[in-house]
Amino acid sequence: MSAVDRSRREPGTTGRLPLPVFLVALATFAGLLLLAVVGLPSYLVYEGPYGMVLQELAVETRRTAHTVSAVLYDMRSLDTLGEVFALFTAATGAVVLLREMADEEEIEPPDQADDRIAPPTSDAIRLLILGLVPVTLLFGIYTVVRGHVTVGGGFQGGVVLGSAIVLLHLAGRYRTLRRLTPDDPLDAVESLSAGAYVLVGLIALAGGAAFLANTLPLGQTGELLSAGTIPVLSIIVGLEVGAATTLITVHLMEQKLEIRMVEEEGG
Amino acid sequence: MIALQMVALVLVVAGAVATVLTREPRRQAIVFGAYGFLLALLFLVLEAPDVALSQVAVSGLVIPLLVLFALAKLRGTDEP
Repeated sequence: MSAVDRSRREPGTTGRLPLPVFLVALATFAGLLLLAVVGLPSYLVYEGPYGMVLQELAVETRRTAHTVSAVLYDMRSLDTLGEVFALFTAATGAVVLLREMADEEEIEPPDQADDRIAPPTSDAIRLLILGLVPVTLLFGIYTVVRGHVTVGGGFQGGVVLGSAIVLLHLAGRYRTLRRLTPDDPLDAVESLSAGAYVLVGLIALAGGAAFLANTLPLGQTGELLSAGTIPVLSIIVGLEVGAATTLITVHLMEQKLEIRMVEEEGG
Repeated sequence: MIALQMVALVLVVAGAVATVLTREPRRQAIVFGAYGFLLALLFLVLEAPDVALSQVAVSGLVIPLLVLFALAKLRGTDEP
């Protein structure tokens, strides 16, 4: 009996013809890609003027040492608004899809139920998570708040914050995780931060400047309180992204650990 | 400096191939997490630390977690 029985092929797979076709297409694509890549300027040689202008602008006029944050939250803050709402929509979609339906019920998570079926997590992992969670949380807050001075910003710090809380599940503490991430406050934080972003923009509008213009006092480069609205928007985005990430992950966990189809007897 | 980038690129290619060639879904999720870390290393070496930060958290932790939970739900057994 040969290892691959070609006479009984699974439905969905076709014959041998596609392989040569694929190889020809692959070779053509690889050749064209190589041709294009060779024509690019070499690494770390930046020839465009726009980047240099941005760097000077960020430090001189916005008093921030982090050009990426200046672009994200000041010069291109409208695009960041779109990104915030994209994540908000994704989280909303996930929550709506994963809600408890009529033919499902909520049960106790396996590590807390009377008929305990999940194996207890090892002490090594629990100790590791015990060390990791506060450090990650602190690092997330640090990244969000200092986004206008060093590397970081709202999105990066927000994702780190969201994952810090989710780490608790790896320690086997799902019940603790759920107690720390109740649904209503999370929803509130996420929605209010998304709205706060628009509010900051409207405040700028009310002051006579353009929507989302940088209107707070600028201060000194490198200080914590500087660069106008950039740290404010960074913190708002950090909260929103953290809440959205936690929401999506926790709801998917809940779908597996707490919700199941109603039993046949009695419904 | 160019050697470092070459090494990072080669590692990323190896990681991508490894991810595709891993057939079992649970194992593939873990390999994908490792591949996410390699990709973050590449971003760091290409002088994009902000992207690397996001990449580590999202692709290294959140996505394998979500995939494993979805697989567990589909299987109908206990948590991974």
